[in-house]
Amino acid sequence: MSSSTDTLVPIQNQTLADTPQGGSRGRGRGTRGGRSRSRNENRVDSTLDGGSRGGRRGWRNGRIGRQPPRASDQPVDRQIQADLIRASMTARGEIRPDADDAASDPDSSVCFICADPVQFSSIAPCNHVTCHICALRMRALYKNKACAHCRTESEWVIFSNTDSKRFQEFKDEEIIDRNDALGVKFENQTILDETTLLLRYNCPDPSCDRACRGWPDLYYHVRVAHSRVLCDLCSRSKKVFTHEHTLFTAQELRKHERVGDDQPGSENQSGFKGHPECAFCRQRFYSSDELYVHCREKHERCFLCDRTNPSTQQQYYADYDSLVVHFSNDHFMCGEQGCLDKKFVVFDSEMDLKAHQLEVHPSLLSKGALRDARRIDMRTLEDRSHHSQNRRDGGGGHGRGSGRVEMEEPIRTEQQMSRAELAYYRTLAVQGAQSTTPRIFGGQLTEPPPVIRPSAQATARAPAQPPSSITRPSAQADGMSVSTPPPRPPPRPADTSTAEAAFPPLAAPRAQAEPSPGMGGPITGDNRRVHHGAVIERANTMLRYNQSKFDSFKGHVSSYRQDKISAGELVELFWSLFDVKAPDLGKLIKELADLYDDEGKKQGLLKAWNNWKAINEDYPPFAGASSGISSSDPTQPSSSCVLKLKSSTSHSARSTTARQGAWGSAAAAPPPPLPSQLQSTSRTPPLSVNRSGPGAHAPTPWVAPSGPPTASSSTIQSNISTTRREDFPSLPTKPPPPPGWGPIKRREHGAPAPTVDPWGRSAGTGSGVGFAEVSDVEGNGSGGGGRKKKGKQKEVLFRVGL
Amino acid sequence: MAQAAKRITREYTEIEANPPQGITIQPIDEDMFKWNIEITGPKESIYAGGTFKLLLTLPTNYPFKPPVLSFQTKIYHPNVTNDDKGSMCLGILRSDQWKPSCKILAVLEMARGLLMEPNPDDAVETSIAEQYKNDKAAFEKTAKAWVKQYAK
Repeated sequence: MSSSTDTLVPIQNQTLADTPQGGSRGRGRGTRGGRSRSRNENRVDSTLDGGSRGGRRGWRNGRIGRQPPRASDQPVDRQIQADLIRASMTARGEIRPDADDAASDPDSSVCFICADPVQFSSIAPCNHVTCHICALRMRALYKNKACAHCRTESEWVIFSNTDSKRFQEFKDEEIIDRNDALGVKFENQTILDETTLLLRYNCPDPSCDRACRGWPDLYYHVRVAHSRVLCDLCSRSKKVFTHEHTLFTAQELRKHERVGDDQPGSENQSGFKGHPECAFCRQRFYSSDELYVHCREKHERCFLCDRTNPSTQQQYYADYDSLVVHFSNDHFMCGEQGCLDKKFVVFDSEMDLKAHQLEVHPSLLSKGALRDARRIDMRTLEDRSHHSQNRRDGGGGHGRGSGRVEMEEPIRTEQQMSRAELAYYRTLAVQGAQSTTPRIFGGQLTEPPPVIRPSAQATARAPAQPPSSITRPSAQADGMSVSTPPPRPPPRPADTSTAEAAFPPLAAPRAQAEPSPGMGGPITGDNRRVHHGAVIERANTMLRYNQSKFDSFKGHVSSYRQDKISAGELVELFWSLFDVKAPDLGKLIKELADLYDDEGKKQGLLKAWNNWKAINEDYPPFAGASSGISSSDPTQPSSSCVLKLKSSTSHSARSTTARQGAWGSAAAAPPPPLPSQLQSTSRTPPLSVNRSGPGAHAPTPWVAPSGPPTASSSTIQSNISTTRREDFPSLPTKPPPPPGWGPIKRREHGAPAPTVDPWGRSAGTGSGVGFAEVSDVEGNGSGGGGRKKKGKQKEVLFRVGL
Repeated sequence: MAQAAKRITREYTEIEANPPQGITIQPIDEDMFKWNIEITGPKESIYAGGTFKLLLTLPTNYPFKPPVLSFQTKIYHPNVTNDDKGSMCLGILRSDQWKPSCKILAVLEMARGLLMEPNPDDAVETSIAEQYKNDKAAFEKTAKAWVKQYAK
C-alpha cells in the first residue's frame, strides 16, 4: 500500500523553464517582506489605482505608495487610526520603519513557519507564537487546531499585536471579539478586520478588490471582469486563501492541469506539476491521492499480480470486463458459469484451477478429464522442489485450496500403481476434497458474520443516551425560561403546554425514553424518538464521537431553537464544527429540521442550508468565514481591510460587497450562474436557491412529544448521563491518518518523470536481488510469475499430504 | 505558494551556512522543491564507508505537509523500503506526526541517525527488522555487503 502512488501520476512532468508568465499570475506573490511591509498598505494601496499594480513585482509599488495619498477613498479617521497603530507598533520595536528589510533581519520579526515577517502574532495556550496568517491557514484551511510548533491541540488562540505576552496573561476584557468557528480571539478591531478580510472570496486579480459571495460568484466575476478562469480542482482542494488562487486563460488552464505552472528557478516557483489524470476516465484529480482513491473505487486491480509482486507498480484495469480479459490471458480462470458470475474465481496456476474444478464442480468433468486433472507434470515440479522447505510455512494463503488430491501423485503416477492402490488414493482424493472444502474454500470465502444492526429502537436509544448529559445544561436553562418564556415561543401543532414548548426538542425524546408511562407519547412520539436518535447518531458519527464537539453541536442547536442565532449562523457553525462533506452535512441538517415542530424554524433552517449550499456547492468554504464577518461590525469602514498577502492590492471601502456578509442574507439574490465554459469536468453547482425549496418538505407528520421534564427525571438523567459518559468515552478528534502510501514518490534527478506507462505495465524489477538473501523464493518469484509459483504450491501440498 | 519557496530558501541558506556533518545538499536544477542529498555512512555504523544518495521532495504546501525522503542508493535497512523507491517514512516524516516547525535539517539528521541506529519497531521492511532484532550478525553482513556493492 505504501508504495507506488506515483504510478498513478501521468507523466507530463517536464519542467517548463520558459513558462510565460500570464498577465494574471504572480499577483501578490511578493515573496519578500510581503506582510510586514503591507502594514503600510492601509494607506499605500488606497493611493494606487488598480492599473498600476499587478505582476509579481507589484509589491515594490508599495514603496511608491508612501507618497502622500491622493484621492483616497477611505475614510480619513480609519486611515489615521491605522497609522497610529502602525506607529505604536513601530515604537515598540515590533516592526521596522521599512518593513521590506524585515526579511533580512534576524528571526525576531519573521514567522518561524512561513518565513514571512510577522504582522500579527497568534499566541496559543502552549505559548508558541506564529504569525496570524499561518495560524489562520492551519485553522481555517487545514482545519487543524494543532500548534504549528508542538502540535498541541488548542480550542483557542489569540491574535495579538504583541508576541511577548503569554496566552494566560490575556484577560477577558482585552479580547474584543472572537470567532467560535475558528477558535480565534482578537485583541483589537484591526486584527479582526484583517482576519475577516483574508477569509473572504477575494478576487485573485491583483488589481481587483472585489469580494465575491461564494465560489460561483467568483467564477462568474473573474470570467466577466477579467476574462479569466479559475482551476476548478484547485479551488476545491488547494488549501490556500481565495485570493491566492491563480487566474488562467483557457490555454493557461490547460497547461496548468497538464503539466503545472511551476517555474523552476524563478522567484515564484510553486513545485506544482499538474493535476494527474485518470487514463481511463480522462478525468483529472487534484493530486495523486485523489486519483488513487478514484482508481481504487472505480477501477479494478488484479489481486493475483498484486500478490505475486506486491512491490511493483499498481496496475489498474478499466472495469471488471477488462480485468477478465487479463485473467483469461495471464491467469487461470474458472470458466464455469457460476464461477463467472461469482467473479474473481481465478487462479495463479493451472493446477490450482484444476483443484478448484475437482472440488467445486467435479460433475462438469468427464472421467478422463478428472483423471487428467489429477495428473501433474513433473517437469514443472522438479526445478522447484528444493524450495519446498521455504514454502511449507507461508504457503497456506497462496494455495487457494489447491486440492489435496494430488498429494501423492508426484511420486507415483497412476500407471505405476496397483488397482488397489489406485482405488485407495481415489477414495482419499474424494475424501480429501470433501473434507477440505469447507476449510479451504469455505474458510476463504466466508465473510465475517455481518454486524447485526440494532433495531431502530435500540439505535435510537443507545446513542441518545450519552447526549442526554449534554443537553442537560440547556434543558435546565430552558427549565428556567419556563417562567420567562422565550421571546417567540414556537407555535405548536398539538395541544401541549408552554412548559413543553420550552423544552428543547432534542432533549424531549430522552424524557420519553424514561420509564414514565403517564407521559409516554403516542406513536408519534416513538416516531420522533427514532428520528431524534437517528439525528443524534448521525451527528455523533460525523463528529467521531468527540464529546466536546458534540457538546457544541447541542449548544448550537439549542441556541438556534432559542433564537439566539440565526439559521444561517447555525449552518455556518455546523460547517466549521463538522469536518465532513457538504452532502453529509445536508442529510444531518434535513433530519434535524424535521425534528422542529415550529414550521418557521424548520423552514428557516432548510432555507439557510439551501442558501449556503447554493453558494458553496461543491467547494470547501472557509470555516468561520461568515461568522467572522458577522461578528465584525458591518458598518465599519474597511480601510484597514487591506489584503496583506495580496501584496499590492487594496480593498477600498467602496466595495459594497466587501462589507456585505459573504453569505448574504436569505433574501439575497441568488448568485449569478456559473460560467458554462468552465473546464470543470464535474457538475456545475446548481445555483437556484429554491431548487429544493423549503416547500419541498412536507410538514412533519407527527405531533410534538409530550412530557415536560420533571425534576425527578432530570436527576435520573444526570445519573444516567454520568454512567453513559463512561460508557461512551470520547474518541480522539483526529481521524486516523491515511495509510502511508501517499508521500512516496520518485523521480529521476532533474529529468522528466519516467516516461513509462503510468499504469505500470512493466513487471516487477529490482527486488529480485534484494530479497535474495532473505528468502530465496521471494526473490526469484518476483520476476517469474505464475509458473514458478505453481511449482511452489505443489511442494506445499506434497508436504501437507505426507 | 510563494510562502513555501520562501521558507525553503531560508532553510537552504541556513544549511549551507552551517552544513551538518556527513550530509551534503544540492537542489536540482534550480527547483527548490527537490533536493539531492548525499549522506555518508556514520563511521561507527555498519554503513561506514558508504555514500548514500537521497532525494528530498518538498510538497507544494510545505511546511504544512511533510517532505518526502527516498534513498536513491540501495540500502539494506529496516526503515527503507526495499524497492526501486527506497522510501523512508517514519517518525516526523509521517503526516500525522509532522509539525510545520520541523526543519529540513532535522529531517536529514534523523535520516543519518537512522543509519547509525535503525528503528526496527517502526520498520517498513519487516523481514529485515526481524533479522536485525534476532540475527544481528547476518543483518550486518548483508548490510555491509550492500554498502560495498551499491554505496561505494
